[in-house]
Amino acid sequence: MLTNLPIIVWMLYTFFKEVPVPILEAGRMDGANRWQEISVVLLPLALPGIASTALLSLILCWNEAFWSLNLTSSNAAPLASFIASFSSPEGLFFAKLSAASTLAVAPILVFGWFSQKQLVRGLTFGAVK
Amino acid sequence: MAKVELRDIRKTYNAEEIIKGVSLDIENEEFVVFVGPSGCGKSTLLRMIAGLEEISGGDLMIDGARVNDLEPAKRGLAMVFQSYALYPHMNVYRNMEFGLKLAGMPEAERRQKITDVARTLQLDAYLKHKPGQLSGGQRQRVAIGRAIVRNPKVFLFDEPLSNLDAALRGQMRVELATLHRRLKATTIYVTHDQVEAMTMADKIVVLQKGVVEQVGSPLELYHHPRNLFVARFIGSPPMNFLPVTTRSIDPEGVTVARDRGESLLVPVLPGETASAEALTLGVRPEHIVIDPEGDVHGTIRMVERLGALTLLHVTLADDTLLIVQTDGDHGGEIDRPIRLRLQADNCHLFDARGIALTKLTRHRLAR
Ligand SMILES: Nc1ncnc2c1ncn2[C@@H]1O[C@H](COP(=O)(O)OP(=O)(O)OP(=O)(O)O)[C@@H](O)[C@H]1O
Ligand SMILES: [Mg+2]
Repeated sequence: MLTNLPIIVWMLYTFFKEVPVPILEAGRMDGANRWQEISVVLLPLALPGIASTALLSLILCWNEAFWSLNLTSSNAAPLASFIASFSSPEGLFFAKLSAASTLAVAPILVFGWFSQKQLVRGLTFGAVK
Repeated sequence: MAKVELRDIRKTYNAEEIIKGVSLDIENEEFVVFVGPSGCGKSTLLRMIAGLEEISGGDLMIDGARVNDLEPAKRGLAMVFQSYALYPHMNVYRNMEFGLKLAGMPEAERRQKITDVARTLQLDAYLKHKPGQLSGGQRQRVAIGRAIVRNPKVFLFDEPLSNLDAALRGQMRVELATLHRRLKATTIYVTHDQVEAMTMADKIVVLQKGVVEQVGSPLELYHHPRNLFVARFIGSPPMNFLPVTTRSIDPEGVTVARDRGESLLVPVLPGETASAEALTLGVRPEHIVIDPEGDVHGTIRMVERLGALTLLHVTLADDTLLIVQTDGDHGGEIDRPIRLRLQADNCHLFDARGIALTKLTRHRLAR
């Protein structure tokens, strides 16, 4: 999970850097102190970035979760190969495969659904003026 | 109501001096415009006044009190940024309310104030809109509104109109001038557009490379530029320059001549030049007359028709280019010979260092 940290730091850094400096300066001219400048101006503007970073981090963690869970046992397998194992030379366990896939996808789907607006805005943030 | 004084203000970035000691008095209710070419330090100077940039040296006084170390909001200023810098996540009302809220103004008073300002700026219909849903002109109005509601002692503008199209820029120029007349707040306005400077300013400050070249009313700069730089910078199309030599010096002025002969008596103080000294003669396109008897002979190389005016690009025998402004009906044609006369009273002479020789009489409109 710690392996995600660099990408998260890097993404957040980019998003915070994208916030136009004059807007923060306008806040200061309006009388905002350092804390208000961060909480009322900077954070709301970086929110799409924070949301998309959070989602990405969740996806990465979830994909690793099975691998981590099984790490101590003999059959350590990442999520993808765990699902793939249901299609084996002994036959295609379609029901099990579907169930495992659904379980694997569901949380991301639910979380992604709620954050999709933020995510799309986040990924295009700064692309156009 | 405020008076702003700059006392030998300096700014250094990484050991490089960007503002090299600017001293300036900005009177109460005055509209002062900083102009100068890109990179001359206009924004830096304005941002130091605003408190967004630290002052490396000198004193900044507002109403007699030194404010160098005061934070921006405590200086009683409001700034309008070139990029508008509205809070994109707040609607127009909240944008204008933010500063008032931070200042602790009660809700009812805030509402009253914002409604009033929104009405004068014709923004009442857009109070619920987010900045992203507004046109450039409307965003600019919100930025101005956000500055006005706080009742600042001094307004600071950094190229506020440069993102607008030409028509809107003209309209906003008039609106800003009207607003200034009504609010009577001291205003400092940065632009590199000399039309904005000429039309709006009570006082223009011409900057070059961090140094003040001249301070004066628009017509003072137009009629009595102190040096070549100001002469070239103020006025559009720009002033024409011709190399000349002094022929004779009399009480009524200095007679100069070009290589090929024609001489001209320019009414400047006789004491500032020596005989046979090389000078530069400056004459604006609008002060050259087309005259069949004129003693300057040239050839028309280009005709620019602006409708009300025509600009003729004329080359003289020695290939010097002169731009001549004449009326819109002038039937000038390319490659035709033309004879011109320079209006001696409106000519300027500059010495080898580029400093203007003092005119004998002041223009009546140049305060
Ligand atoms: N943060 C900084 N660090 C180093 N140099 C800077 C910094 N900000 C500005 N400068 C330099 O200071 C000089 C003046 O910049 P400034 O932005 O004041 O110019 P300007 O007159 O406003 O120009 P423009 O008309 O292009 O806006 C420039 O040469 C610029 O490179
Ligand atoms: Mg600038």
